[in-house]
Amino acid sequence: MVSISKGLMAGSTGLMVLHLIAERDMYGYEIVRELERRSDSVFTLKEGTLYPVLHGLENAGLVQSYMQTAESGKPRKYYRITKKGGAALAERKAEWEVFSKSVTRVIGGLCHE
Amino acid sequence: MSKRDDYLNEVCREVRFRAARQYVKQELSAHIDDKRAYLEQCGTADAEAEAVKAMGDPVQTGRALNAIHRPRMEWGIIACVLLLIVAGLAANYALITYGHFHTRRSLLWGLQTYLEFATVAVSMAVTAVLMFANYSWLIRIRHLLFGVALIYIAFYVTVFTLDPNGEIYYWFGDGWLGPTAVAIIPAILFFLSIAGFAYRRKSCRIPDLFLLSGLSAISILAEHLVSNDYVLLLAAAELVILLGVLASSPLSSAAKWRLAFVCVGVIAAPLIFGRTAVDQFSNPFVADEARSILDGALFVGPSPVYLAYPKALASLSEATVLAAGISAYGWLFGIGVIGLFGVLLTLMVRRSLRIAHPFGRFLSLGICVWFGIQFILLLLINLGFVGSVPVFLPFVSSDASFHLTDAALIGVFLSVWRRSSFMRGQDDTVALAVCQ
Repeated sequence: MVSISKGLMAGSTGLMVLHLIAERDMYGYEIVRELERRSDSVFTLKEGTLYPVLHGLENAGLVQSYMQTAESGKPRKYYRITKKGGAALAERKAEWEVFSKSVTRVIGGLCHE
Repeated sequence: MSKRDDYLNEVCREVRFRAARQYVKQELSAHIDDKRAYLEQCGTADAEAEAVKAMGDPVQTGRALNAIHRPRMEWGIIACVLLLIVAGLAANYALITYGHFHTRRSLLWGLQTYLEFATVAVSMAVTAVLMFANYSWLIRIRHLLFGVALIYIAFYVTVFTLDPNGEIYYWFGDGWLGPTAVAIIPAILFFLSIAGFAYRRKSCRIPDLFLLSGLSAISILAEHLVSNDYVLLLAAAELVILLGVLASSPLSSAAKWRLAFVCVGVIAAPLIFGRTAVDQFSNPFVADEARSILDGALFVGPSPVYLAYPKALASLSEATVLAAGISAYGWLFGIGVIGLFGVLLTLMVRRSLRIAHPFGRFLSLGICVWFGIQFILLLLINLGFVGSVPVFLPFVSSDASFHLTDAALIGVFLSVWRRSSFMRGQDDTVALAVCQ
């Protein structure tokens, strides 16, 4: 399996995390699992490194956390997207689209306009 | 020590802001629990060790978290407060030299200056201590704060009812049992306590809201027994808390509006019952004096009134210290002080709106309202639009009780802001654990 370099992951983790949280409220471990599942285990984070990303998004006001008791009775910290986060996500997706198409054009891969 | 503890400790070692560590630890530990449960389901041997291993390098994670969870210092607010204190010392010097204190305590003016500096030094120490303290302890002692405020008022009222000639008052002096201290201290204790009750309410259901409104009404009535002046500030700060609770409740918009009217009614009833400080504005004497002194003020420098007839300032007091400052140093001084308050309040409101933790938000918005009303009221008094009430200009007027209580409030505000990067959720288990 191809492993993705740290540099590439760093640039896109925030976007992917924000997108997942925009779909539904999630807690940290759930986000890691979902990232792995959707990318067929290509994006396998060192799990602790998710939290600086989440806390950074929260500090920027893009996501908001709240505590909720899980079925097991333990409190869990969930994250939900904010209005500002929704706007930032749309902006970052547009940026990513332009970026990925441009990279594909430069390196000569397939690019579907 | 288990591998989990080793991992968590190593992460936390990198996070320099100690107060943030327990929050980081709690979330990472919950993640390891989830991962371990999943691995156990998959039949992995030593699931705990594998779960910890999957977390990655603790130093790298800790350093990244450290970059995010730095204590927030609001230097703008600190600078505004310090400049206002300096302006206050200068304005009080004008009063001490020629005005109120000159006629009343001419032999003691030197001592008064030293006491002023000593009060400022103690106030700054109070601000610093409270800024570094964890404000969530206030939630835990909310009953105590409410009780102490009630006992303080009850003691004062009892003593002075039994002492109609004022002998006990003179025995105690003008210190912590003086009229201003008795007005301001319980008002602040009530405000902090109501913020705690608002945070720890069981739900947003109507009985809980009525209980909260009832406690607010009791505090306003009790405050009326000692002073009408601080009732207005206390009521405004408590109303902001009640409306904040309503705004964050899951009730329907129609229900929120209905309850908001009820809250306003519950707060307004004891205000009307006790009659507020507003009725004291009818005395035009001080307003006329302030206007006549300001009429001769220059843009820069001492006014002819100040230089030629210094005793004209004798009618001014701590409440009208800004008018004295304008007369002694010019309108530029007044514009500077008003501008500083404008900047200070703008910064405080903007920061308050960014605070996610409900208790922190109740406190910070309440403090903004507290200072905001005081400033507007005192500005109107100093510019001669309304008569004087014994509510002083925050950080500028030279009363020890007010300096200390203003310093305490700004210290609590800075503590809330300092911790706002990690103290967030309504059901924050760490904050709740502290408060159990």
